[in-house]
Amino acid sequence: MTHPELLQNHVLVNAILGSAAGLCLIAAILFVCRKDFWAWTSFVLGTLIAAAMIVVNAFAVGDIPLGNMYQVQVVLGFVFLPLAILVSVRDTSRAHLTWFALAAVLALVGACFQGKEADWRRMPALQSAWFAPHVLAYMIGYALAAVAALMQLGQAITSTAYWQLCFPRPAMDMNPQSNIIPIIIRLAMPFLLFGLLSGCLWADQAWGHFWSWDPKETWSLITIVFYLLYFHLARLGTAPRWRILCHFLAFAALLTTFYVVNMVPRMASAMHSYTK
Amino acid sequence: MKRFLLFSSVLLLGAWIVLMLAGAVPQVGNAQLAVFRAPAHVALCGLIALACLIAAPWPLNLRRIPTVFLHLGVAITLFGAAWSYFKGEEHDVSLPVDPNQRHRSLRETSHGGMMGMNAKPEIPLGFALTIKNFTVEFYPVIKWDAWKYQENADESQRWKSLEPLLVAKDGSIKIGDEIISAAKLATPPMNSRGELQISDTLIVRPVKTAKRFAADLHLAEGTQGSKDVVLEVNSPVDYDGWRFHLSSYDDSLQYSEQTLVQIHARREPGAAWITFGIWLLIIAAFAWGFLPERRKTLLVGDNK
Repeated sequence: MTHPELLQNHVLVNAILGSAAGLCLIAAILFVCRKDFWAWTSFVLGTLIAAAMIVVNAFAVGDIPLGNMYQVQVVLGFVFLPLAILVSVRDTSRAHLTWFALAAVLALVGACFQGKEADWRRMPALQSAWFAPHVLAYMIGYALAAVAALMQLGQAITSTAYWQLCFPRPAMDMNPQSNIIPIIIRLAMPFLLFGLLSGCLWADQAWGHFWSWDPKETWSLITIVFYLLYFHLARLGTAPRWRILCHFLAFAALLTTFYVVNMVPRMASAMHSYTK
Repeated sequence: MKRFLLFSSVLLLGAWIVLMLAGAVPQVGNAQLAVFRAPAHVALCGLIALACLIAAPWPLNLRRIPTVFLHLGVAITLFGAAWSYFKGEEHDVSLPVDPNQRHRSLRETSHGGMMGMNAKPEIPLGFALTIKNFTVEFYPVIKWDAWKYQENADESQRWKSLEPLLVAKDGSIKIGDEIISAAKLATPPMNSRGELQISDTLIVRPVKTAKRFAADLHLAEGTQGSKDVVLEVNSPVDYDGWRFHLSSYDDSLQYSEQTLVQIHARREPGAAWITFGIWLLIIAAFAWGFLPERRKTLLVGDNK
């Protein structure tokens, strides 16, 4: 049963998403100011609003709300809080919290700018048990990779001579020698790999091919191989600049997979219909 | 040895990225796929599999078990893929729905071929396949596209697209104050293109989306005896070494008087190895990502 009228009022939907993004932004600022209780409260409230929007989207489409970029980005906006908690369990430093909240802001603001169609109908090939785990694994992997890339960018900016001159002490709780970036990428890798490989198993069931070199598949594999290269460079003990370059290239490939492939009409495939 | 293996891995992974980038942007007629079918790419994948096999147990350490299985998973998957690439076969065929027609061989889909031109060779199956029935179920229509006529606009912009009209629970739609009933929407005076003009508004019947389609197959004369199965998307059917997938269907009757069912038939000897390799990779990846022992090793490497 679908209720497409739930998403008819785009202004209201954007206001709700904007409030969720605003709360996450406040959380990011409060994490910097070390007001952890209020930061967590704000982050949780923002995420709960995103969760409520996921439920609304599910009612609107009458199905799993992963049918288009708007629905996918709302889910992406939701996953940052649970992942921040997961990383906090693995690493007690609080350097990552600001970045998780900031990444949630970006995802939710991005959802505001996407078309809010509710007429998604899962074609028969998408009616597979693999659909939800495949997309959710990618969302989790992308979320972790986005935080790692944002942290790397933050470190690159704050380590410049100009920044050091203007702000003798880092404004954010970021230790340039922090090892949390590889830890986050390491957590992202199983999810990215699961997304890729579950897609192979699903494609084998649906079409009789494990792999078809579809542009989305190819870019997804390029992303994974860049991250593998990152870990091999780390093990080889190369200079950090090569690893950082590899990290940025991997994230650029990830953005190409997630966004650019969808924007170029001849690259968007029928298999990945949510991209339309 | 460890450094040599790591350095070789970096080179191989770098080369693979370059090759994939060459084939990552689609060209007319999917010409970019030639990159992936080129001997250089096949050889590179072979080298990567070999490197994984050599690197997997080096250095031998219980803590490295997830890493070992990750490398083995890659090697096994690529081995299975190579076996299927060299020894497998796959065909896309269009078969008519006809309970009286037994297909003992397949011929690749080619519309020209169906009309007697460019006929492709027949592939013997070794058994008989009949498509007894075919059913399609559509999603209900939830919205209609609408266009409004603007008399004073330029000729090219006379019809302005409006917000889609949502279908109410009783199947009717509302245009301004006028309610168009479900009965009126389902019957003439709708024209052959599925359009209905109401005063200055043109509403257009949306294209129906298939929710489910299925073919009833009868397989006989093979070693597995006679059996009736339902072939659906995501539910392939195995019989005597062949696997059949339902791809699509064509009921436009453009090339045949019967509905044509599009089936992908394949024999892929490496499929089991690929599946095993993939599951090994998935399990090993989660162990590698979440077990803390490896994290320490990474941190040591990362601080150099």
